[in-house]
Amino acid sequence: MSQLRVRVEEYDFIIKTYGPNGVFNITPYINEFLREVNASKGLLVVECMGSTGALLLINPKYINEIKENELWTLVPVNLDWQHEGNAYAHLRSTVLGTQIVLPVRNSSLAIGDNKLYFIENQCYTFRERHIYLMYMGY
Amino acid sequence: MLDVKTYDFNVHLNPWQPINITPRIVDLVRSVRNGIVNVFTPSEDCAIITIEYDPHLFNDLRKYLEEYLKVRGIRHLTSSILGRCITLPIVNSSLRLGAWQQIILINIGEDPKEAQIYVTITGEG
Repeated sequence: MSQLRVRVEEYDFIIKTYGPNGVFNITPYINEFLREVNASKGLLVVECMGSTGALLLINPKYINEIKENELWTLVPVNLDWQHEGNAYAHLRSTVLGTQIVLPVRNSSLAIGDNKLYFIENQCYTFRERHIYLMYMGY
Repeated sequence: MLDVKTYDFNVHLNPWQPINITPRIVDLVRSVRNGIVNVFTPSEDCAIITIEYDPHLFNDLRKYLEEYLKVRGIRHLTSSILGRCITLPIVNSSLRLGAWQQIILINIGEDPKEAQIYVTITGEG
């Protein structure tokens, strides 16, 4: 184990989204933050605030299929839901998740060929979404 | 200096009963300025999720799991799909949850449960 002191660094940013089925690659913003704080190795917690968005770690080669087909199948928009208007968006958010913990190595996410996407499930244009980052490591 | 704090407690849950544990977690993270909190349940058929606290939405969630997924052959994966834990940032001694976003413990099994909850907080005091 390293004798360096473990530290905590935080950052948040806003992205403007549209949806439903808007997919936004937030990996570059995260890696820029990790470079700025010189995060050599540790863990990063990523959270998207709100109960209708979602985070998705996936290889970009699948993202169009997910966007065009699989998100619609995952939770259908209309199934006589009781919650009015946007139940499907809440359920997608709960199933896909709004937070993720990822490994950091050499000032970038160690996620291989994957990217981290924010998924906009709501029927909106230019919605502001807050993303919170909390890094813990050397 | 980083510190690790743990809090373990039990919650009794009837089948499909959602319990909003957000106030308890919000209270616990006040002791840390910046860090992370992990909330985990090892209890079978229980899940910890973030969702709006609305009885209609819980009915929709039940319908989604018991009807939509079940007819597609998904029965035993449901607690894994929902997840047994969440990990959230703590910023200035508070969580960054949306206006409607709550941390919910839910029993998706057919029997009452005494669910165990393990809260682990790591951060700067």
